[in-house]
Amino acid sequence: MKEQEFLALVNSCKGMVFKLIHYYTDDPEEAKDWLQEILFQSWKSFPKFNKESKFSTWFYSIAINTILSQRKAYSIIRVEVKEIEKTSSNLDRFEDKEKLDWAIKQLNPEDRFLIHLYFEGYSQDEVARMVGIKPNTVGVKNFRIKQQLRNILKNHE
Amino acid sequence: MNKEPVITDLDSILDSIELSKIRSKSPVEKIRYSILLNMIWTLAICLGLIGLFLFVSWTIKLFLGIVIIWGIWAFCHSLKTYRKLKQSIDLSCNLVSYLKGQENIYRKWQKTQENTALAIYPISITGGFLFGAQAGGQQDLLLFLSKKYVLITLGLCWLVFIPLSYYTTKLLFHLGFNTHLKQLEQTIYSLEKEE
Repeated sequence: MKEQEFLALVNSCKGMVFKLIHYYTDDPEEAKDWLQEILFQSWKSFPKFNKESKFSTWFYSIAINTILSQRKAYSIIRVEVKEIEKTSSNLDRFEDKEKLDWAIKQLNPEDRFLIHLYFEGYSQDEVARMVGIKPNTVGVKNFRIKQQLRNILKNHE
Repeated sequence: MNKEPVITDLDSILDSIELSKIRSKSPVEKIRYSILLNMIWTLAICLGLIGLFLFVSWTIKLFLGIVIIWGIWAFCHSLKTYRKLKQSIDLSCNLVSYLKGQENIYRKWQKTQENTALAIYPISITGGFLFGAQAGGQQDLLLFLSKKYVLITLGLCWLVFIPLSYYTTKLLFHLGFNTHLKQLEQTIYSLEKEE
């Protein structure tokens, strides 16, 4: 596989990865570093890419694992949720995308990508395969993350 | 609420990037790089010892030969570990297993190097001791070694230099690898905590 062909495949699904990087940093230099690292990891892993699966899913898995395995300790922002409150907010139909993006950035790094995958429409099974956890765990985590998001959004209303 | 700055430069990276020139900043890659440096140093020291081999008596050659053989073994062992450490993320297992696997490969390597080196220190110290004697004008090294005060001095050298070498090795491992290893451990810890 030539570099140009690989980069063409990357270009076809870059938007999702740019957005993912955006969830993890606001610093343009750090964002560039992330992208280079993701490209390095995916280029080195590319010979092992099983062409039966979609390139975008595979590339996305590499991106998530790269970010999770190399994020800096200082970039971890944890949100303490004292109690889980039920709200009527429906996150799937939440219209203020900017506000939602901001709220996602307040989550811890692991939760950020899980909810991102959820909003991108990946199924529990697909997410489980991507990150190597059980599908049920994905479901439980998504439920908890959505409650956290509701709390964050509610507190900033 | 502040408006988040939009990352606009990423497209330009994709347009101009040369994949072969990218260097990874991952802790595993940094550990690999440090092992590579370790290999280069081992090779350089072995070559130096081989050079020295030509100018010493057969008694010293015996000790020197053992140290050189150990150096070659250590180089091969490091090369094997270097190749075992994966340059890119392995998607065939989950992230924690992958990172733990890489950490274990490194730790096993470090432990083996430290422990086998412990066996080689007395030999290299004795070789160095005899080399000093030869440089000081001693003709018959076996006769020199048979003297009681020489054996006591050699024993004292062992007592001082074996622990010193062991802890110096530990310190060098710490300086060369600890930052990357800590980063790797912290990542594993935070991922496990989330699971």
